[in-house]
Amino acid sequence: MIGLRLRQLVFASIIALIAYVFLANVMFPASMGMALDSYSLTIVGKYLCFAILAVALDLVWGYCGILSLGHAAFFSLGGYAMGMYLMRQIGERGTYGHPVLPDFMVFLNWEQLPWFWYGFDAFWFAGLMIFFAPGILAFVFGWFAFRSRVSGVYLSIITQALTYALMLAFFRNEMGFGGNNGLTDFKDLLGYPLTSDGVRVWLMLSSGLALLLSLFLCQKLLATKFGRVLVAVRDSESRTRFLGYRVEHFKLVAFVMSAMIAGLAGALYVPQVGIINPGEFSPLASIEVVVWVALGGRGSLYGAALGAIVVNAAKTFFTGFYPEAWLFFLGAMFVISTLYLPRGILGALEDLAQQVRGKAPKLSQEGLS
Amino acid sequence: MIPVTRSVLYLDGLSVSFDGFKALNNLSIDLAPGELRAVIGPNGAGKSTMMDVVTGKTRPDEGTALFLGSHDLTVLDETEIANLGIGRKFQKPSVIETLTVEENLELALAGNRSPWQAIMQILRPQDRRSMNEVASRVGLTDALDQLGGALSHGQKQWLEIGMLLLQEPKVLLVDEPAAGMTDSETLKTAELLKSLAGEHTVMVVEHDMEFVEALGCKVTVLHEGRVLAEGSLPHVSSNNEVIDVYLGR
Repeated sequence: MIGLRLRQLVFASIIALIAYVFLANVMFPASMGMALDSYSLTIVGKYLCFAILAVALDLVWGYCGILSLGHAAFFSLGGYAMGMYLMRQIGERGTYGHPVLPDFMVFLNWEQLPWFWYGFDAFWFAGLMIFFAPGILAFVFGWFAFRSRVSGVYLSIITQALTYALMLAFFRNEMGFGGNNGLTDFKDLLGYPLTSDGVRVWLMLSSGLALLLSLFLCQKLLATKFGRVLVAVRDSESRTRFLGYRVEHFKLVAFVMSAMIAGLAGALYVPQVGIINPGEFSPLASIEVVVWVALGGRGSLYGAALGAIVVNAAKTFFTGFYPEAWLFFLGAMFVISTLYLPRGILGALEDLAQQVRGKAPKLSQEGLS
Repeated sequence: MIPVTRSVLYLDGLSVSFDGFKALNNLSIDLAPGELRAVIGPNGAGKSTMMDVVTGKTRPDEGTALFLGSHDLTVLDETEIANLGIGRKFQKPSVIETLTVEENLELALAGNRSPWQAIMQILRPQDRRSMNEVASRVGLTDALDQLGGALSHGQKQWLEIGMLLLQEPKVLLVDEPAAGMTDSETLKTAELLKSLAGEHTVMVVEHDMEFVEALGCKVTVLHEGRVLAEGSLPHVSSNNEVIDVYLGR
């Protein structure tokens, strides 16, 4: 019951945040002085995107036991798909003024647009690619990995290799994704200037709605028998096989869905920060996502979202005031959560609330055995 | 050439070795439809390895393993074999500890096992009925909301048997069902397994001789990966070799 109430609290806070920004920045006149400035809007929007990514990872790690150390790859692919659309939106306003080719292609003396850039001038196409690019990669990767029964730490290692390989590939100019610099210098989104306050507000609101939607959909999915099979796979994979379930298919479905949600997060992230480059594929970025989820509460979607927001808020604070202390703090948080908060912040709050009520903490269904 | 057989389970000349150790050595057993069979043998006799081969967990080096005379168990994987109708209860209770008893039973419930079906599936009234029926049969009606991990060892054994029943398999492989049970529970288990024979084919691996006696069925004695003796319990217990390796100690 208490666990449920905490989850409702997280959900309600996100709704409250969205409602506040909607009222203060969109409905009420600016003269009331309640509106968030564009710096805060962008920061909050970023956190919300990270929270979506954390929810995506928790779906596979928390519920199916697949510790992916390469989720930043799916996030970045979604981001690149959005970035390609934004590049095509620049049109003739680039430094070189070419009507079709983005600046970096003109600079590389390319004569025409590579085939994989076709279609990205249309928002609907880019919108599909946000899901399909990471989804197809996850499908192909998962198909081979799960069928060969690669699991546990071995799977984690090859997911690291996956994101590292993509990083190296995207660094190359010949790949056609802007190389080292990535994609940047965006101007418009759907015809509205990206730097305008109005667009920033809507991007932040969309990120919040996307987070609510991901939470809601994952929650609904996990409440079905599918969710219980995932938990069975997490806790006893071979037993699930002997019950007649094709474990690799269940893992594959969860992994692909998770990758698509991560892609959505990346696509919302890129217009808010204004750049996507191969650094986003770095193995460290994926490991950070694992830290968010572990700290917030693995095996609880709301905990994962909370963890992403708390860790990134701390990151903003530390990198602003004590930049040299940030990595030590991150390390300390991970050690502390591993030693003292095995079920993360949300799990610890649940136990605390239960103790206050004078009940012994019960083994939660959402917790880990 | 596939030998013609009307056996439900036909194992012939199975050999498995792990790093030179022969876990199974030219093992042959066959089970007739509806038969109840007890398999006994000292530790390391190859009982679990035999079950691993039948359920697709281990591949034999040589030999034949046929289900219903036509399905080659040496090439199918665990999922395919489970869906053909061979259910297994493990020696170590392996219920899903973070799911409730009811959810464990739901997972075992016979039916389509695809992910899509799992997303769309809603329990029908007759599903609930058969789950409740099995729950009361294995004495877990009051524990439906409890987590699998919170059950006692004996209750976990019962839950596993219940899950096996809901799978509606043609063959039940039951590994040491009586371990951790009280005497009265042991007898109850024996009764249950006896009542299942006929409709299902049941193979029980057990150490507990009283339990085997209570089953009152044909007994196969394994030793060092092969069949040492086969027949009724009085028959095999009078066999000198069997007394030497197993019973006489």
